[in-house]
Amino acid sequence: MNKAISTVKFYINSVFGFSGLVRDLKYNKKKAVKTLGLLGLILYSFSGLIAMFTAFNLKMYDLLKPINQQGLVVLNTIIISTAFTFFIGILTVIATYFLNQEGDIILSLPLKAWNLFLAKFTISFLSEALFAFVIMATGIIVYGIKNGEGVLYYINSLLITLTIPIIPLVIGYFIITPIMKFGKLLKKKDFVMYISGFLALGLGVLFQYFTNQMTNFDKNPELIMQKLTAPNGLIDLTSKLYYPAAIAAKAIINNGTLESFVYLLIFIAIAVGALVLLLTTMSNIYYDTLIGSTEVQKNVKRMDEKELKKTTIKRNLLITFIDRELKLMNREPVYFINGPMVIFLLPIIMGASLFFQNNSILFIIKKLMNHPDFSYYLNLISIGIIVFLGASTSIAATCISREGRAFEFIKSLPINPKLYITAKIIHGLMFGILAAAIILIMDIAFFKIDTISLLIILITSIIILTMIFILEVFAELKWPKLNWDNPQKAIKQNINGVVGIFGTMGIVGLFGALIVKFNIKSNGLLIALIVIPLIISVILYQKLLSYADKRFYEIEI
Amino acid sequence: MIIINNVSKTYARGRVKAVNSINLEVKKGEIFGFLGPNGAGKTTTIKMITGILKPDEGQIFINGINVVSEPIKAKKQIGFVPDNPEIFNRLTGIEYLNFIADIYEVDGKQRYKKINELAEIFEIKDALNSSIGSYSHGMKQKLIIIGALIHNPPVWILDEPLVGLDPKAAFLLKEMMKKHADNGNTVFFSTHIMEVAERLCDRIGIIKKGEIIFTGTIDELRQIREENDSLENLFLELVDNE
Ligand SMILES: Nc1ncnc2c1ncn2[C@@H]1O[C@H](COP(=O)(O)OP(=O)(O)OP(=O)(O)O)[C@@H](O)[C@H]1O
Ligand SMILES: [Mg+2]
Repeated sequence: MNKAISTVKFYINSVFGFSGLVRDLKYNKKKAVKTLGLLGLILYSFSGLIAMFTAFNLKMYDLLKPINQQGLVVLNTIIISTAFTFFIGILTVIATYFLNQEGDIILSLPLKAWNLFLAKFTISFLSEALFAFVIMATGIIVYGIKNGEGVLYYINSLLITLTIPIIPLVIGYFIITPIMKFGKLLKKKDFVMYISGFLALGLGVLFQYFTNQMTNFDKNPELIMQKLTAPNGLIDLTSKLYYPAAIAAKAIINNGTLESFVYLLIFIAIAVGALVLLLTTMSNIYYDTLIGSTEVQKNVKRMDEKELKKTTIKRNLLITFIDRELKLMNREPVYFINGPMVIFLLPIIMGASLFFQNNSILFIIKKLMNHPDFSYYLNLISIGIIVFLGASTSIAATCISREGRAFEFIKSLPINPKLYITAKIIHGLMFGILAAAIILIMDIAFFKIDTISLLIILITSIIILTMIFILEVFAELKWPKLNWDNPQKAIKQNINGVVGIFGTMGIVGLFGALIVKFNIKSNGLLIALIVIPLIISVILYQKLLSYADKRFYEIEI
Repeated sequence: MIIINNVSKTYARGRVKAVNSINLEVKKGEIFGFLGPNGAGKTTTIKMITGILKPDEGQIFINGINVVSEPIKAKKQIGFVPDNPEIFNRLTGIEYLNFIADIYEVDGKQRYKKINELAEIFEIKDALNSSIGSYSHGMKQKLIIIGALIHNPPVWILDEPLVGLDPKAAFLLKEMMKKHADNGNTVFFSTHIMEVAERLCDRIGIIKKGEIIFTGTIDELRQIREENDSLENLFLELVDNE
């Protein structure tokens, strides 16, 4: 047991770096501030969701109070956070499935398979518990205050909240572990990572469906409420399907009674039981998938003389650099899924969301199409979406960090920093153009936009993206994150990458809001959107080149 | 030729000077062995010679070219094998070699000749189509050596190049180093293996806690002690006492 606990501790520290944060707080204030700032930013990005849930719960409580059914608020919150931790949990399970620290050293230690599995489970549990906590808070606090609940209510709620992620995660591991095993049998780990990525995509679409159901709530609350709360309504049905939710709700609502205490114990027992079941049945399979996880498929095709001669030709240096960027990004599943795949992923999710909205959105679109300024707004919206998609790939915003420790080797080569940096911007722009192509095809298919608009959208968005990419490369040169052991850290835990995505989102949103608020309707705006970023880009690019020429040699790991 | 002039380096996160005003000169036609205990500053010195790290003070010249002020020109003179061959696991061997050759602007004919010849000698020709991630440690080492030699650099800088190589490959590499120096070129390498230093090097340098405590030939090292002791014992004495 001791071994299990210290394995868990080791994993937690090496993944979340809590002890690192504590150390930083003491010795390296700046770094600690950066870490905390990143946490704050992530929390902030969920604020919209939090506000939505809170508003929903407030309304629900008021509607249900007269028929004395307000307890459904709690049940509903439990169901939602369970569903949420399930969807996000699948992603976490995949993302943390192979961690670098557990390379061969951990495997060589005399640890039982279940020790390692439990440690890994704890890692995903901790991040899920945070999600569950945030979502549960929106319902628990609304109900607690409105219903005038006491301390015991909150204690019970906290215990339940911490228990909620366990079962969804157990199910997640029951799904993913066999897939990984299957992938190992096929000797195609990368392929499995892609499959899991698409699985996650499917779940994302499904999740979209549920949130849409919820946002529809605004339009016709009574009807939706009926759907949700009627006997055999959605909540009733879900809690029958997933009975532990009902138990958890009873434990919270009837707090202070013996019955509540029993329900609480039952809920925890079910969760722990599920975990034990997972550990007993899946540990060995899990362990097996870890062994040789660093194994890579070997190309058995040998290279013959003729082929060697054909491949060994001199190429233009810029093309060489771009080619290397493309290969390194697209072949690393973690990079690909969080980078270029986003361009395909987001339009699919957006499409799904249009689809699930049924008539309402399509109706609005039809109405809009008759609007005299429709094509003007369509242009602006398309530009906004393309810019957002292009920046979501994080290609430029993580371009130096992705090199990792190999950056030292790069530095030992006689590389011209200007060319090296330019290749990175072009790499980003290539996917920006791809994003533009996807959106423009949609524009043509749905709205039959004309050639002029098409060109305007393409040119404007690419120029804006160029400007953003240049800024992102500046940030990467200034604050690269090169010292990592797992490529996740270069792209997902990289402040530049996070700021790149949310910053772009914020700027696009701000512009949208300003345009709507001040009712800006002039082709001058479009011209400004081309000319200003163009001028900025040209100036910044010059500055970037001379900065890179100096900074490239200063970056040390 | 490598000239190191009064070079010092302190790591940003380090407290002590990893390298403390060292001076070294490696002439053309010379194999220079760089020795010293773990953490003495060998890799740090090599990283400064290859332009990976910038010296806090002092200058380094490769064939007369300053590494800091003319980095690209200086690096073109160098073929470098780092101590850790973990690089670009997602590329195939041949993609890697072509990338390196493009950077050194090696034309198609020469690179074909070099790759063909060296991959044959080191017996990794069959693996060139596989991704580097699937290579063994020694195979990666061999690939990087081929990459470092593809442009016929006059100056070789090798950080513990023999680690992980099988006896045959180690022998081959040593022979290549000799031949390279015999042709009037410069070889600078770090090692922990005394016999290698003894048999291969024209001169050696010993570094300890960032300071050079000896440079000269093996015979000169023996003369200091006036004993016909093994090099290993001499080394241990030197490192322990001073
Ligand atoms: N990235 C770094 N950050 C901080 N200190 C470092 C870093 N790399 C090396 N050092 C320190 O610099 C000193 C010299 O290290 P260096 O790697 O040059 O030694 P070495 O002679 O190559 O040793 P070895 O024989 O183990 O390879 C050591 O004290 C080491 O702790
Ligand atoms: Mg070293």
